[in-house]
Amino acid sequence: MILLTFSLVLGLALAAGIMSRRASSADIDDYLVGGRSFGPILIFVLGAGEAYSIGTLLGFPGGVYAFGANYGVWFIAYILLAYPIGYWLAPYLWQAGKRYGAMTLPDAAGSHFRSRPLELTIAISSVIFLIPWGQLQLTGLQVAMSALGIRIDPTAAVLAGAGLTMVFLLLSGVRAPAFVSFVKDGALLLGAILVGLAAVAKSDGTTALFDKAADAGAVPSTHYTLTGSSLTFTMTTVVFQAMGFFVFPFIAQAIFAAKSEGTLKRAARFNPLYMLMYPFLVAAAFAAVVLLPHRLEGPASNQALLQLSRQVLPDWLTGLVAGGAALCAIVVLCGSALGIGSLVSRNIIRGIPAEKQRSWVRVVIFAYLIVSLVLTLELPSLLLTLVNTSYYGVTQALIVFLAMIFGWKVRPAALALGVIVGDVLVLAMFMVQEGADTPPWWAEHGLNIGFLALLVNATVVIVSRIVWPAENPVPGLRALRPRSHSTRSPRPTAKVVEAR
Amino acid sequence: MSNELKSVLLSIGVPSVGVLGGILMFADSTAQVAGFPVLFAWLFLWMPLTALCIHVAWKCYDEAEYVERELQDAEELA
Repeated sequence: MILLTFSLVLGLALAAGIMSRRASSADIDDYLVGGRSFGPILIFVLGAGEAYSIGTLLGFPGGVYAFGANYGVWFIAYILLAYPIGYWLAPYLWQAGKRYGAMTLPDAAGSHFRSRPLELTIAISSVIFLIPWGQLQLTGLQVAMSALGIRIDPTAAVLAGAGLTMVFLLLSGVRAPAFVSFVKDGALLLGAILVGLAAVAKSDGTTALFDKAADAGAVPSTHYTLTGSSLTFTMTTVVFQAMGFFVFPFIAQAIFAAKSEGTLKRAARFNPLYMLMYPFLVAAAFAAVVLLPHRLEGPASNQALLQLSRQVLPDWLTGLVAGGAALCAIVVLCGSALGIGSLVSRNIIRGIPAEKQRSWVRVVIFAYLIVSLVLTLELPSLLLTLVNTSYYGVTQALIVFLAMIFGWKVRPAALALGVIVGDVLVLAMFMVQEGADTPPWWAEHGLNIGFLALLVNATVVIVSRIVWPAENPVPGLRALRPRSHSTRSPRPTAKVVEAR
Repeated sequence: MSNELKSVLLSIGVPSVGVLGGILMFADSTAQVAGFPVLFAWLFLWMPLTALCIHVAWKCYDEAEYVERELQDAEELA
């Protein structure tokens, strides 16, 4: 039964992928950014599809199961605060995309500052930090399959996952993950809510559920409260990751694909409501502390949700949850693959004619999937330690985009230097943190290292503004298309109503 | 104060103060809301509240202007 509903979910996804072909055309801008034509619903679904990876459905409950509030609070809070930032930031990125015909963030920055080195810096740092991201999805798929207790070889599952990703992207580029996300989000929401409700029902209500969890080993100091360095870590991580969320390459695709700035703003209002699935996942995670027969340790804690599901739900519903998890991995892998494909063939290699780019993107995607597969199967732990650096590294480009919006009098070379300094610092601090002889004061400070690197990066840029300002700075996006300063009536005028 | 600043203060400022302030306030509290640790309950409360802040910012400070921009863009295309 598990296998039947699991295959049904994947079958539905494949159907959605095939349907996505209908409106597509052969142009490169259709392939990468859907011809900038997506309305608010498709933008909302694509944005949610790319944002909630297998880390949300399996990693989040696993983390809360193992570490409680110490893990759950920063994870929820950073996404929650990322959405308001996106409400303001995303329309500016879209504006740059439209103005310069950009399909990637380095396209936008490179054209705005008329700087090839800056374009290359952002593109290369994004590609480096996206490689562990793709592998994380395939590893998550392995975990999902091994928790199901059905006879699917995890290796075969990983191969099938990568294969399906390739099929989707061959079908219609960015339209495929957008359409598949309808199925994926449906299964994810339904799965999270059902497991949560069943866990609550099995524990005789939420109050009893959390009381039993406390008795069964959910430690107050980690599961219920934040103390000392973990509070510092939570605060700095929330602020840092909330700021970086919208400069991730695959989130950028969901921005550029929008029909207009207003579309992005309209869709943004509903993003925090999607998060209302988290209470169910938190309840499920605490229930897993009580209900699972054996305590899961280390990476195995990622199996908490699916193991719980097998205990509290009928098999056919567990198949649905697992199908949702697999699709989370596949959709996010589609996003990263498309991101890498476009970064390499538009920004890193120069001068590929527009009509050839689509084939190039596909070749790069194929290579990326092969590399991810090999790494997942041969070196599973190496890059997984590095995945934490994805956020730290990619976010360093934020300063460039702020300079682009506000029109700071800085040189592109200084912006590129800031990104490089930030990235190198992140990797260096990460080595120290993960190394064997970490000094005790370092282990205890709790500050998010990406946050520290971003401060240094910003300092480099500010100092350059003073000692080496740009002679002929490019006006910022705010000046290129100014907003009116008058207070307007919030009601649309007659002309506006008619035109809508 | 420009509409953009008002919109930013309402849509980013209010939820940030609410969420981050709440985390600091409840960091070492073992209180529970319907069983949930209060830290989690506070974040859940801010999900609809954040959506509401963004919605009000859109309606009061942004909508008219962005609708007009969409019209301008449509005219340019035509």
